[in-house]
Amino acid sequence: MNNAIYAAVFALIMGGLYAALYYLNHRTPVPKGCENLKEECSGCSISSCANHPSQSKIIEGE
Amino acid sequence: MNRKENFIAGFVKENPVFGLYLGLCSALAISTTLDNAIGMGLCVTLILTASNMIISAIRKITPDEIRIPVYIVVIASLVSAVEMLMAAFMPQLYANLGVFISLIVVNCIILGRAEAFASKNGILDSALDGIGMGLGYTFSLLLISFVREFLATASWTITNPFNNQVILHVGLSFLEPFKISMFSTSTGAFLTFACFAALFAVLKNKPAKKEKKEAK
Amino acid sequence: MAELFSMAIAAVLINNIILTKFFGMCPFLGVSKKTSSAVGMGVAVIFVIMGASIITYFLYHGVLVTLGIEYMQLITFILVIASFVQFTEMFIKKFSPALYKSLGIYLPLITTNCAVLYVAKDNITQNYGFVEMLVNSFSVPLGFLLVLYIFSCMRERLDTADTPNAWKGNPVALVAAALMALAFSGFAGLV
Repeated sequence: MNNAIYAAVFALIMGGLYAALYYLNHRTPVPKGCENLKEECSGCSISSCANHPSQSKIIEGE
Repeated sequence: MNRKENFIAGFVKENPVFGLYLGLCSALAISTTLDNAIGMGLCVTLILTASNMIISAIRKITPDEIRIPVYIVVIASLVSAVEMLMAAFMPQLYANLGVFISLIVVNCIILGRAEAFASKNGILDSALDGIGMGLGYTFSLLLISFVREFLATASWTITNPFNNQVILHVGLSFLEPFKISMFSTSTGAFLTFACFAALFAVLKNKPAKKEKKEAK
Repeated sequence: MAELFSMAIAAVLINNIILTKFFGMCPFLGVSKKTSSAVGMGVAVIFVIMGASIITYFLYHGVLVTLGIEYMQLITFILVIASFVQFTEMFIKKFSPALYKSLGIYLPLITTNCAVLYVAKDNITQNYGFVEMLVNSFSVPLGFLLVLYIFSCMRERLDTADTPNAWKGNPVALVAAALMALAFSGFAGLV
């Protein structure tokens, strides 16, 4: 039974750590000169990924 | 788009494997035999449907800034659960699929559908989308493994994953001397997949051409 | 020493991660259109696999085994990899804009790269010691870089080739990959 508690606590710590890092990373500004760096990756069709070609088209279109 | 169209789109037009090139790692590695293809396909369908439903259910309380971490935790927990269930009830299939079960976590189909569909739609629609996409994936795996298993062994075999009894065995023994064992290796996987990808590209463009002709 | 060397050769050439195990197919097709991006992606993958493998190795043997919760392996590993990628991205954004310029864009693509999770899991299932783990987690992504680079060179040539409409783009590239896999299977007797 102790095991399950450890597991839950451990998962919470790891998940929280990831969420915090994810949040902090996305708040850190991109350094100067790198704002428009994009790699046109068409490896998968997750169109919400910043590297998907359709993203740049949307920005250009606006 | 209505529900039925949405459901059918997963098979040809938006086929996750041949059309969108999602989940290729497992599609290529697992498709050596029909057994593996069925097992893996149903496993992905199950996880995709469940994750779509959960993510859709919590879409209103998920903070937007950290939605990707939330999705990853949900998907990883589901995959762990399915992995343990399979190890317990279908040990042979579990041994055959091996590490690919746990790699469903990073399968782009699941995270992609969570992002693109489940985070914006209701529970029922998301569940249907999960089943449709999952069956589309299963269908593509079956196509590849159908060709590969026959070319490599000159027969098809389907076994029951729970007790390892052979349900169906079709063998063309006169073709036995001509079997090409290369098709069970990675070269065969790439080749078969390339042929199907080209075929689906033709199928996908066909309706578009018709419309153009009509417009003229 | 000789054992470690043959292990590295086997990981790079014989059991190449892309051509025989199909891990990392997404970047293999996605970022192989230019040689420069192939090299950038390859180097980023080496870095992330090394870092994530070392952390997961210690976390598994230090925490999960001691607490008796080995079944948390998968969740832990994927979270470590994802956190490591986020941390690295944040770190080089802040302290090394030059590095960010060349590698930064590839980092977010690596979280969902199955090669990273595979190597982390493989280190545990094969029961590697610390040094073996280091060699394995360096040579596997090295094989990835090698194949990605060769493949991107082939694709640059394929772009100018005259291919039938249906085969344009990915299908013909996959045929090229099949031939490369066939060529690499010739290394099988090397070690």
